[in-house]
Amino acid sequence: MSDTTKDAPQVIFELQNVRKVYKMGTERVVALEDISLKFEKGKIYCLLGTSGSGKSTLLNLLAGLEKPTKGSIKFKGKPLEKLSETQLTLYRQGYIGFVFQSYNLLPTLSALENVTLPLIFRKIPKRKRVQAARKMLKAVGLGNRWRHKPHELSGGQQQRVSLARAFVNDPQVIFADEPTGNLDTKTTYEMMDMITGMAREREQTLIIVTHDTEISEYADQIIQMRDGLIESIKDTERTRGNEKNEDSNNTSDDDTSSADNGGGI
Amino acid sequence: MSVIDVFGMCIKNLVKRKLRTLLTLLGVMIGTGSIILMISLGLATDAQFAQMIEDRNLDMTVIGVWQQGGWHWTPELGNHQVDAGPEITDAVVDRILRIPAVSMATPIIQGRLVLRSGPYAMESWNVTGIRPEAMAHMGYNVEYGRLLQEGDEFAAVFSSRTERHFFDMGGDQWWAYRVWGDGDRDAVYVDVMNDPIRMYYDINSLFRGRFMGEDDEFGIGLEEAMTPVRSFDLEVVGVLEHVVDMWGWDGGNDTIIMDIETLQMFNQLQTAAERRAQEEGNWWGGTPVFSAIPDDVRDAYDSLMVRVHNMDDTSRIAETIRDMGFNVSFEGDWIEQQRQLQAGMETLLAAIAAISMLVAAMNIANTMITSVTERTREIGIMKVIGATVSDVRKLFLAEAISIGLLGGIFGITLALFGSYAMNNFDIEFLNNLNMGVPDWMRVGDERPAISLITPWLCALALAVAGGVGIVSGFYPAWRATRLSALAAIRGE
Repeated sequence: MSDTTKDAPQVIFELQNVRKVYKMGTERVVALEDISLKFEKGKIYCLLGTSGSGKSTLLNLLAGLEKPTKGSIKFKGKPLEKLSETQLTLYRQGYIGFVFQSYNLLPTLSALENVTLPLIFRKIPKRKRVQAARKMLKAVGLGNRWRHKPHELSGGQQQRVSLARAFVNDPQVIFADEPTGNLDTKTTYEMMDMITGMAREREQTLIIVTHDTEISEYADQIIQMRDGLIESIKDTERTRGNEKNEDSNNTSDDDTSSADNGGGI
Repeated sequence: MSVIDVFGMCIKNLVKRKLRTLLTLLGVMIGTGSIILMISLGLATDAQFAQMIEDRNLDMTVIGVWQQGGWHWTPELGNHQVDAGPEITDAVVDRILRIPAVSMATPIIQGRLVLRSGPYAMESWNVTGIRPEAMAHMGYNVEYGRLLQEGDEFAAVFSSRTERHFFDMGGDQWWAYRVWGDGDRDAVYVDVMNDPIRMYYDINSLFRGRFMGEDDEFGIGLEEAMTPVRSFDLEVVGVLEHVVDMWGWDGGNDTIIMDIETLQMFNQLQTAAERRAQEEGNWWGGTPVFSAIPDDVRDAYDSLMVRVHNMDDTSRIAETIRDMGFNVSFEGDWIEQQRQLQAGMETLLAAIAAISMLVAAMNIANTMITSVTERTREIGIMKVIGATVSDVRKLFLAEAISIGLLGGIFGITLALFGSYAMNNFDIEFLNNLNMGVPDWMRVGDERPAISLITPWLCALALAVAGGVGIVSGFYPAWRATRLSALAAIRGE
């Protein structure tokens, strides 16, 4: 894979002098000081920092959930800050997948329905979207649990449903905001393996926000943040993700079965 | 999102909050149900009146018009005198004929006639002159023969009982009959359609011979008395059906209806004869010679009959003519007043019912606002995942509409049950709800429906319920769209 990626890395996001200031009553809180960054296609990034470092704000800006106070964020060359709210919604529909710390599944919907939700908003016909969602659920090892409501699933299972939901519309970018914050250690690794594996397999850009340095080991590049500034950018050896990635690549059929076993967690 | 997906999701959300949904639905149900029931009372009233009009064969398209003036009684003023209004002239007739909704109008004059057929005679004070060509349009129906038609001059149509007014001039009951109008009503001496009939304008002269006792032999005396009297042949072309009006009164069956111009001429001859008689001091008989028609006989008509195309126009046209300065009446006058009275009542009742609908609307809004607040997070998630503002709005509006429509359907069901109860349980309280035709006026003994629910009423109620849902849903839906996706997700 990724010969083209290596030869001519395609820039997905380009940030230029991005500044974000919140007004809290009369006080002004500077969340991002002055950020210039590039994200390339097919790579896995980790935004690492303590709470208040501005990493979540940066994610929100990239997702088009907020607009920068100053500066420009370009997605494939197009400035996001110039899009209308509806256009931003369409941008998220078409190109972005989300994984949250608290899973954020809709409690009234079954696992399958939760996964189909992004496709519903994209007006994909029912048969097609159910097919796609089933496939995704199988891929995350919940093929036989599609009927369950979120409260009938364990935390790990819920997060896998949310993973399926993030990947179901085959986005170009996946944002994961503290994806393992609510999980135990064992599940955390399984989850990280799964998410990075799936992103690599599909040549998607994965941006993980975390304060956990161990998780950062899955990334190609670690962007360390502090007080709204980039402290350091570090390319890694991809110690953890690499092996797993190859592993899952070679035995993609196994993926389902091993994940099915994991379903009991 | 497609409409199906929107409603699929909305049903899931409603089912999730069963109790709250149910309570809100109940509110809408009571509101819709009571509005339907209130309106159904009015519809039943209308149906009852329509049925009565049909049963009694009332023709509500004919309006009678009179000159104003004389003594009147109204609830406000009591008995009071009214100044004379404009006279009914040809100009007035033409003006009324030009009103688009009016299909026909004819002036009417009243007169009296003396008729004789062989030894039998009658005097009628109840002769109506009408334009012969208009008769077919004024709601008259013949029992046999035909109505007057264009070109008829010395022709007449009798009412059902008119023929019985012929009495035997040689008999002993004639005097009583003439004076008291109280003869042997079952005796029919004359075949009015076939026997020759002559009419006389000088009424008193007919009886002069007999009254003055000049000859005991009635026939000879009469012949002598009659000889110089001017008379004409009268052809009776038809006899009308027996008519009973909505109050059960059948006193209108003793008239003679004839060509207005002929009657006019007759009236004038008669007036002239009477004047002559007065001048000569002969109170009991006009001079039996032809008199010139005096110039000062007024050329106004006594009244006017107006026919409108459509029953629904009747009261409007009647009002128009009243505004021209005339008295008007039509057969459905009373029904019209009654209906207006009821319309007032019904509006009041419907307004009370509408209050419950208003409460239901606020209830929906309240439920929806609660729901938006509760689901702040869900809304945020959906927005992040790709729901557009319009998707979110649709979701919440759909919920509000669903509550409205479902409540509406329940309400219709409730109203149908209520209506059934009203119509089938003979309970004093329910009977008192009937605002329609009073018992004594009704044809037949069957208890009429006092509540009538028509399909369009159901459709209307459903539309109102749905509409109330939409309106109540607007604000909550707007609030949902205004929620920040970020704040929603963050709020953990």
